[in-house]
Amino acid sequence: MKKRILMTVLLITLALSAVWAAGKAEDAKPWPAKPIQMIVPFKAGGDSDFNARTYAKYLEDVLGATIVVVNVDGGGGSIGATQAKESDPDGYTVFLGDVALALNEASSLSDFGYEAFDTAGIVGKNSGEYLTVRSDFPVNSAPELIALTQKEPNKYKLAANTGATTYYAASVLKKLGAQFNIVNAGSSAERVASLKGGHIDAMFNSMGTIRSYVTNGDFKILGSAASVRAEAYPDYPTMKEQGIDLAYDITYVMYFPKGTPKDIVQKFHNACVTVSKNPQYAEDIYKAYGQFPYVLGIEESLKILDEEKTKFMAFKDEFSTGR
Amino acid sequence: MILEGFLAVVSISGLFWIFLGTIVGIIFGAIPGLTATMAIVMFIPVTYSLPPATSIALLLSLYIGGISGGLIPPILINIPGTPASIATCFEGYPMTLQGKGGQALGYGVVFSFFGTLISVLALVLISPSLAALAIKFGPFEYAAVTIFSLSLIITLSADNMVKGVMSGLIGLVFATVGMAPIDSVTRYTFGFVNLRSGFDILTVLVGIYAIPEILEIAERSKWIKRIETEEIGKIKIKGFGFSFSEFIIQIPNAIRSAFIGIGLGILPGIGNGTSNILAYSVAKNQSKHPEKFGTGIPDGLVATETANNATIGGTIIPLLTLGIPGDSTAALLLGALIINGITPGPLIFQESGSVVYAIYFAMIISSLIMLFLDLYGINLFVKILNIPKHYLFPAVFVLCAIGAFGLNNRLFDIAILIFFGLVGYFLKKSEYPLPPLILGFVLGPIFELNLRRALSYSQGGLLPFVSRPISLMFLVLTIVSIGFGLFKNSKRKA
Amino acid sequence: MMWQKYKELISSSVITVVGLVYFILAFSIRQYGDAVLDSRFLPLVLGVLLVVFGSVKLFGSIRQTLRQEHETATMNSPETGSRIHVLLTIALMIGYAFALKPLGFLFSTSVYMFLQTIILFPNKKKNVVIMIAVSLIFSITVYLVFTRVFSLVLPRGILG
Repeated sequence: MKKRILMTVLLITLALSAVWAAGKAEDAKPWPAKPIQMIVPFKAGGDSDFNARTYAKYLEDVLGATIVVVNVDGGGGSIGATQAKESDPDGYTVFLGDVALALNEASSLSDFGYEAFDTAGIVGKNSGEYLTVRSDFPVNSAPELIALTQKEPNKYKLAANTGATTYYAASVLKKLGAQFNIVNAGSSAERVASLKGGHIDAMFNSMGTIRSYVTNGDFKILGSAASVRAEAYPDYPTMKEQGIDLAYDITYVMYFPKGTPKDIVQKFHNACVTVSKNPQYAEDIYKAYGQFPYVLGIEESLKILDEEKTKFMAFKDEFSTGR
Repeated sequence: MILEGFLAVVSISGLFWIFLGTIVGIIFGAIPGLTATMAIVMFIPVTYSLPPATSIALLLSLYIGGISGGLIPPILINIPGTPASIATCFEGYPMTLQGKGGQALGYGVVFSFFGTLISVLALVLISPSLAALAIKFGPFEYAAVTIFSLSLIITLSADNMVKGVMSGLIGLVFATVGMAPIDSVTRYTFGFVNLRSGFDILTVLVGIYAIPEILEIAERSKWIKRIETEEIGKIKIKGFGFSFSEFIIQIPNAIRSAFIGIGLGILPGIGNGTSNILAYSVAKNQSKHPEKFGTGIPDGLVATETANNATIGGTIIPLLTLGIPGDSTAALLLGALIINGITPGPLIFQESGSVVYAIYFAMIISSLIMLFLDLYGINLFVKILNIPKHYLFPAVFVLCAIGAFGLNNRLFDIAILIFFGLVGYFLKKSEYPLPPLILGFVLGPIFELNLRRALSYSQGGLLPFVSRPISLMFLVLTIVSIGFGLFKNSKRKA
Repeated sequence: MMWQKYKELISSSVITVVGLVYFILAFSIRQYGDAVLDSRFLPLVLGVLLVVFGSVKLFGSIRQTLRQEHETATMNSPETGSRIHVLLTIALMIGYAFALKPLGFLFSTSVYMFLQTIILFPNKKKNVVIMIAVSLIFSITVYLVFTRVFSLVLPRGILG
């Protein structure tokens, strides 16, 4: 009986030590020694998700570790951002944010911005969001659309989401005199269905979600809200060119929780630079979203992030009615 | 194009991955606390090195396996593994208690297969029309559909309507915790950052169903050793446990349930959680012997399992033709499609036709594999009943805790799990029905979002609710169903 | 038992009070701009409904209890379950949730499995060695499968 107990205790100790040793061995390995979690603050299937997953796919070969993309959506992106911010700065959690981070701060959805993270650099730029309507809609340019809303105020519905670029665009247009009924119509994919089904009349969407509908004639694009015409789609004039003072660019940024070892952040940044030079990567992002590889150094990225923040914060009052 | 798709899937590599996907899916679905979604997230990195058709086929097999595997825990241990299998508990578990566990599993498996098949048929033949129909649903229609689905609470809890409604209200109350729809105002978070995203349906579901089971066993621990069944000997079954003629009898029920499943599947947002309960209610109402429902008859089980598998096919339709995912799992599939260079939408057939056909074939093959595996697996699964409860249930709790933890890597979620376990236990002991709570919790957010959207679209006007035909139809259905339920209730009391 | 006699009373009062608190707290929800229905609307409605239904049940159960008091207590209370086991299980689950981070998955799970099995064990002779073995094997297997195969991160705590 005593021998049985002794044997059991011995076995237990052996098993547990083996596991413990294996764990310690893993710790000793250089980063990355285990899978990295990449948090995307929006639902799967959108443009942020796409950029994250494309990077995850190519980074695996460069870094030698699996990258698991996790979607934590909600609150206009603030829930995912908060979760990333609170994660352990051990280099195994990375966050793909975009301008929503600054917009969330401007709309008081969150109380922090890019400074709450350690930036690993801007890793991509969207070709722009496009003002889209149904092809049988009686306008052919952005100014025409605005004029239409002024003739019949509150009749035409423009989709916008609190704390997102779409809301910024809607607020700017409102300030310029447009009289849309600004409504919520869900994520970019949901907005597409809503527009097609006649439930809304206008929306700002990125190219990936609307390309098929433009090609088959269901939708027409009235213009791009980016600061310059998209290289991939040069036929669409910008808002600025049409006399409307609305311009914003969507940049995708890789963030680490504050306090992550600097060498890990640098290594990750370098890995992203390597991926951006991969022709396969370039082909993938061009085909889906008309994007071109765009990676900026950490210092330069911080400058741009600061500019973005200032720009959106200027609209703080328009966003926070009654909050 | 069709041939290309077929060959991509039927290759040795393709079949291997579908097989693997189905098995892993079934395992994940069969363990309460684990979900097919987790399995898909895990396997996405694996798909990077696979060709597009195989990648999607693999992920789809995980999905199909997961929903099918999800019928095992409700039948054997009365714990639904996913919201899609809640109604499976209603008939499946009583059948197990009568010693017909194997037969229940058999029905579940065969009709899961049937449901998937019918929905693939719909997918292949009429997806454009179904997609066109789905587009017509705007906020007014969605609000009306959710009102109708919520009214099912009344018909479901015919025995105790007041308690059923209260349970539903409690579910709706829990759904308001977190950030509100549209304006993201934080509600009832009491400063806890972790509550801002609200409660996750899985944590709520598993907490409400699994933990009270464990607590009840603790309560009766003096007397019981293993899950009681009257005739243990009869559990081992030949084939699927029921005859061909019994299969034929269920066909009308199954077809109707499949349509319900497909119908709800094409509406993004409302999916599996609702379709199984709706199919069950309809089957009960249309049945010649509604009083037998709940005692362990196959009809309810058939309705539930056909519907929840048919919803899979239904969800794929807007996914492929419109690029709109119906739930978070479908969203992952959407992401995977885009990564593989496939753009869902009106041009998908022209641009990636072979992949679409590959998807059809993959779904059929995966279902066949599921059928085949389960045929031999049923007798194995049933052996679970032989594990003494005092070992089985602590293990179930640990797995549920990991499942809750694994959602967001937060220990907080385990605390939430236990919290809902206590809520569920309290309600159960006070004889409040649990399914309405889940229905309220699942439908609440969709209802509020769409009601608020609808009113913002009409700027406060209520007319569109009745002037729009689809919305009107569902509102009328609601009144009819409530009236019916109240009528039956008064008849019973008389 | 007290619960058996008063369960309706207790449960309906709890629910009514919860509804009331929920309703009152709804007024602290921020209102945003000019929406037709704001984020306060649904909570207010739900709170009212819950209080109304809860009160109905409450009054019904008060009446019922008063009626029962008058009747002679011939009710044979059914075999009451073991309340202490339930409480122990709850305590154990809560303890497990708290112990996971500091003590790590392996240790906490093994201890939990072992203790929980003891609680649930019917009154028969307990084979302690088998219970320890099962707890350990289960914990280790789950740990390995989830961390190696599924790449899930489980707390390491004191054992690493």
